[in-house]
Amino acid sequence: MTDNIKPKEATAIVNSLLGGVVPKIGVQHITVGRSPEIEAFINSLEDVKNGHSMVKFWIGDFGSGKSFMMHLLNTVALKQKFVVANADFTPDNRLYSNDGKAVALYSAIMDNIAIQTKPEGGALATLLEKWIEQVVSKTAQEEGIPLTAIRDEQHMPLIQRSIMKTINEITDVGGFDFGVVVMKYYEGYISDNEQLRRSALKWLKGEYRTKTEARQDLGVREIINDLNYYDMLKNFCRLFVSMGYSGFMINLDEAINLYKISTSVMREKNYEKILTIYNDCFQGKVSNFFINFAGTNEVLENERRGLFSYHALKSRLETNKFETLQIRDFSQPVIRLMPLDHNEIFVLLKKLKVIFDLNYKVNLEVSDDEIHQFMEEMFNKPGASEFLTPREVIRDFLNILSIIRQNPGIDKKQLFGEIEIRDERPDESAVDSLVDGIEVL
Amino acid sequence: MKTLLSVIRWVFGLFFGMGAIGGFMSGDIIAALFVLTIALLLLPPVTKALFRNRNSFRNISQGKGVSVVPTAATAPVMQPMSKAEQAPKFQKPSVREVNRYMNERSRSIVDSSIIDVTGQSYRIPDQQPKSAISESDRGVPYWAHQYVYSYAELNSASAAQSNFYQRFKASFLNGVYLDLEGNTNYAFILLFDLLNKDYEKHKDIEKLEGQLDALGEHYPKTRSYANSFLIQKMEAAGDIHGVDRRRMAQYSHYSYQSSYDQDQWKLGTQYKAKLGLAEDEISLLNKLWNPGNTFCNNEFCLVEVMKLYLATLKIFESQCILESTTLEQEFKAVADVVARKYFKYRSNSNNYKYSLGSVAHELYTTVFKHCENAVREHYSHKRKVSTETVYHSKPEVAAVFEEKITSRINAILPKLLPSVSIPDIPTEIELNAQNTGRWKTKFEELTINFKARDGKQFIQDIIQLGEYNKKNPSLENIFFEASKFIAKTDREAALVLYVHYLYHDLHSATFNNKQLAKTLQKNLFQTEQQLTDFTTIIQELIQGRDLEKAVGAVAGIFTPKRKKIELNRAAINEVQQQHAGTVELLNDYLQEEEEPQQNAENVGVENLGEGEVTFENLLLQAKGSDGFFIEEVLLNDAQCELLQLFASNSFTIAQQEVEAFARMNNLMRNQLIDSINECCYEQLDDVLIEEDGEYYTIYENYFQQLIKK
Repeated sequence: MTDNIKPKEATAIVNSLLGGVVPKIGVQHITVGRSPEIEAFINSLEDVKNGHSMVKFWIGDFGSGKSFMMHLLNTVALKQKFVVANADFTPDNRLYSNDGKAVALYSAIMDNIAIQTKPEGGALATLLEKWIEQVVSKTAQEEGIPLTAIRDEQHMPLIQRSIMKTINEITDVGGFDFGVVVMKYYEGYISDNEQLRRSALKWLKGEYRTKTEARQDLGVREIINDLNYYDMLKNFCRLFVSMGYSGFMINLDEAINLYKISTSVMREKNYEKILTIYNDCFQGKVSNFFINFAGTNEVLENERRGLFSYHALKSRLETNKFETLQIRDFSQPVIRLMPLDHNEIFVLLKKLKVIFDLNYKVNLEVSDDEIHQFMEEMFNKPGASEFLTPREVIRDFLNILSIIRQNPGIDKKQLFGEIEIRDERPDESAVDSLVDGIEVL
Repeated sequence: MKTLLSVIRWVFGLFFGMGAIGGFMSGDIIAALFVLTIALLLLPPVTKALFRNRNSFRNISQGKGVSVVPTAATAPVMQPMSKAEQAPKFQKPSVREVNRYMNERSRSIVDSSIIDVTGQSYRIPDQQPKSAISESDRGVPYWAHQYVYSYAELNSASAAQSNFYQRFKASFLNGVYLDLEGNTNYAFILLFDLLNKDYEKHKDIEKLEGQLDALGEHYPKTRSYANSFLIQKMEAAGDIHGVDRRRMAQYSHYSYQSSYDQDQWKLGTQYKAKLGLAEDEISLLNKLWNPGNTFCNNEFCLVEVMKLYLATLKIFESQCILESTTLEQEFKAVADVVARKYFKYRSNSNNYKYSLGSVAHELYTTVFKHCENAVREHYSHKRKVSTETVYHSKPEVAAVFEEKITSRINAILPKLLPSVSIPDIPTEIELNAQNTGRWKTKFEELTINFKARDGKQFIQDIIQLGEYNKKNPSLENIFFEASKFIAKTDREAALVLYVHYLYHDLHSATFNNKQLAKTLQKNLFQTEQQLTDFTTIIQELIQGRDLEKAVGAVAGIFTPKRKKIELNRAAINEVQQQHAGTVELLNDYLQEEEEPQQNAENVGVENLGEGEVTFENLLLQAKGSDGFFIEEVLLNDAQCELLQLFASNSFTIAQQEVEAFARMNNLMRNQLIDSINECCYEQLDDVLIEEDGEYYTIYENYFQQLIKK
């Protein structure tokens, strides 16, 4: 049962879950009931690694484990040498806009770029420097210049030419400006011009709002904007792959914010962008690109405002008609996360008890029947049917284990009786009604 | 023997009859009549009829026979009698008499079960007071009742009757008053005897008065006649004082009777004992007629109104005294205006004087009505009585009323109202029955004072309000409104009250079965199950009319049904197996050995060009081997130097410093840090150098893991 859990993992699991977040390590030990989904994801990851591109929609209700799955994807992808970026859709971040909201999403993605050694994000500069180092060393080798001398200013044109050449090889749209900016970054490094390097990074992150400003700082005519940010993402994807990474994975959560866009035209444009990405990925126009969307059922299925309101998407994302609750098809672009059933929760709690014991080096006397009883108490609490999530079950269970560990003689029944269920959902009903109202107007 | 005698009588009778017929035919009528009389007397049926008649009359007059109640046939035309006199004799025998008669009768029933109507008679004891009236030794000869107009009526009496009369008169004059056994003819003969015969002889009016008083006293039927005849005699004799005296006596006799009747049922007399009233209070209340309306029919209310009336008049009077007048005077002043302005009577005329008295009396009633209205208002009784009189039609009279009475009463009443008692429960019930909307005031109070989430108390209050309104036809509405009110704050209480509503609606004249509004229903029932449960309860209530059962069942609607969790061992095992497989799979991906990573990196690098040598690899070739760090970590000189620099700077170095260090070594800062992290990642399973604002830091424990021990 212990499945070779390392003590370090046990500690991380217990501490993170007590705090209501997904643990950084050891997450595989709590993936109860998600075996087919994980398998499907691993397969997809393998495909992407092998040069395919993929779009997945992770659909599930509040508390069904979307965030957990996203986190798991992150962890596995980082381990698999993917460059990973996470971003949430917000009222100000979307896929399509003409008022800077799309480029804001791009900026958020670029800000959150993570690699294994920089998992918390902000790895763009690191990646850029790594790539330049590679180009520099390659140039040095090609030109027969010693590594210690290659950084001299006299060799800079060689380096710049090499950078442009590589950029031209891997990019299509907007490659020239991209190359110029990377050269500017290198120039800043050589000439120890920190400002120049910052400007170059600012450009790459899409933070320039006017072309004039960009031209003044970097001498480039274009900036990354609402219309071309997706091309830049593709360019980056090729760049990362050329650096030796397995691919570029982007996770976009809270798709409900696209659903909530009040103007139907704008909403459709966003869905159209999703369609573009979907087509690019599955038609092979881009390689090693993995993009995940996470949202609730209504985001997908609502015929008036959801993805299904856009017919082209609906036909692509519709559930395999031969799929049932028992016979699942996880190779579809849409993966529905079903709530864990009682048996799965039971196994999860049992596993947590083992991890808890391992962490504290104890053997608490909590029998299977008591776990069963705890579950019954939880599911019979007022409000349980509406807003009880695995997160809360896990947290309360671990809290009770903590109490039992520190107070061995305590009455467990009494502890179970004191559980209270809280509604932890974001208050969206007011926003929904407001949006509905606006749309009616 | 009897038959033989009868046959002989028939033969002789017929014989004489035939003789009489012959006499009539011959023209000798007198002789014929004589013979006919003899013939008739001889015939048995005629004699029998004659005797039967006589016996029956005697029996009736003596109270014997089958019935003591005279029938239309047996009741003779009698002298006019007052009811009081008539009652004890025939029409309304006293209980004692009836009992005695019944005893006699039962005795006779015991003796012989058949009542023979014979010539023998039984005496029913006389009703006259025995102390005053003596019984006649030899009985009173029956004398059928008739109007006696003069002493001459005695002439038509039989000898026995005449004899008895003589004896009766002699006894009377000697002060012995014989019991006439209902034969009042003798008394009336005596009356006329005394009035005419005797008085003509002695002409002593006082003696006559004494005799007539005695006669009236012992034979009450004669009293009024005696008095009027006496007055005539006195007038004839010119005894004016005597006439006045007799008239006064007559008047006082009547007035005594009438005054008693008037006050007997007046409020003062009725409640003097109950309320412990003083004489003046009795008199004040006796000035009123019983109000006789629905409000005052309730004794509690009437008593409170009376108390308020007395208290008001008391204060009124004290105010009058302060103004150097009296209540009577004030009322008289108003009555004066009414008499002059309304009735337009001349001052000091008889009408004027009479109306002064009557209007003053009415004013007390007006005060009472004001008090009644005040109590009605105090008890939230909607309807009021009109305090206006007919006199208000004249503006000048109305002004005087307002000035002298209404304004003063209105000033006094508010001060006295707090002392009016709160209605007791029966009165509350009665008032609520009379005022179907009276509950709304109390209901409003309850809703205003309602504290959120105190539903049980609210239910109790409403049930109590319902008790007070149990005779109110709007009773069910109280519960319906209460249910609506509390639906937003307490679902269970709302349903309990709705059940109460339905129960009372079922018992009302019409079953309305009002439903709560849809929005309230949505609020009350969050699940379909709850609605279904409640519908079942309602149906059972309608069928069984068991309120307690329904109320008890309502509580169960919102009690969460305990869900049983069924665990499937086989499914659990399957989940565990699947999970074990997943863990294994993920372990493969997450806990890769260093080698495959290196391979992966190399594969990536190879993408740049086959056989190319990367900068990092070149650096690795120049790996420092100072032996400070463990062998698993492949660090080059620059990396080792930087780590040692960290160690010498308490594991925290400014980014600027790292930048300078990197530049010195012809390296890029971010790349240098990342390369160190990458080299150490597999060993630590975590990032070694972390960015902390403007600084880079190393967790000391991690560093310790990297150095050789």
